[in-house]
Amino acid sequence: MPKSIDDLLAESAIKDVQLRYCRSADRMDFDLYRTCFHPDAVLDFSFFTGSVDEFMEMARESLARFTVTTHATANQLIEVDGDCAWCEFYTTATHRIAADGNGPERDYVAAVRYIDRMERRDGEWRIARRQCVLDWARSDPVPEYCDGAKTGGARRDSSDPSYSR
Amino acid sequence: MAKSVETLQAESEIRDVQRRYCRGVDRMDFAMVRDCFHPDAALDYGDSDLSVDEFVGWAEPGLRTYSMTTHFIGNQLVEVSGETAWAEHYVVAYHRCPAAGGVPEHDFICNFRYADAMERRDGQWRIARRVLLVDSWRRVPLDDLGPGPTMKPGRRDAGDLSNAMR
Repeated sequence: MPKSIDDLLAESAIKDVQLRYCRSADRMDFDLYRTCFHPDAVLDFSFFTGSVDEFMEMARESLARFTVTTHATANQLIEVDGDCAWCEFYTTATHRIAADGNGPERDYVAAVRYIDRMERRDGEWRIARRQCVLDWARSDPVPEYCDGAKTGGARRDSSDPSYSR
Repeated sequence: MAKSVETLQAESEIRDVQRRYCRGVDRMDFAMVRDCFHPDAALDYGDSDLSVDEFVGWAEPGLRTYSMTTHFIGNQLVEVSGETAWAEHYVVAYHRCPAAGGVPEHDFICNFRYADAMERRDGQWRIARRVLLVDSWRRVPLDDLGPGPTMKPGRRDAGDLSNAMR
């Protein structure tokens, strides 16, 4: 069956949720993070399962362990069914880790898929249930020529240039 | 000329075909892969035109040599013209290769482009002709620099958690 305009609008709103989710993580913007979820959402990342509040707490703690993160979403496959949708978002999550007892400065790259049940409530699409699945991961040392300071002013907080509008 | 709503609909459906193709390959769901093609489609993956059956017969054992694949889609350029369309999809394909023949476990990473002639028949956009173009590839060793967080592993069959969420 051909897609309706309503399908296209729903897909657009749903894709935005995922892009905001990635931006939230990468800019450590916890207010924005919250807008991705319904209040009773359940998040299951295997190493973590819990509510939105519990997820925020976990994310705050774990994101702080990296010097930079980049959640790049590629394939966004969405199947809308009324006020619900099933979604699969392919994402490469690159986490830069400072040198520590486990090794030199390195990038931990995880190929994950977010599997979501999205729901539209009061006209707003948000995540009702999210599972994160890890397909593969790799760690690569950061070559010396990569100087983290020369990144055009990118920051992980609201002083990032993208916040000036 | 400004795009029409009908063009947006067609583009969206055509991009979905490629998203389903990648999901089909990565989950080894060959019913989903087959559904991306018209029955008389011709697929050129390097040597000569293959039918859909020949393609699946070639791809399935090939995919089984990897422990995991991920086909990340980038650019999706689509030009719709009535009931036909041209599409070019950029894909970065990661293939995790298990240790074999003295070569240690590594990632085989390819920059692919899929150039497609799409046709809409009975209201369904599917691939009528596809050429796989390999722009570059490399084999990258895995550095053992410590484990990351434990997460649920993805699977390459119907047992993947994505199916349990429907």
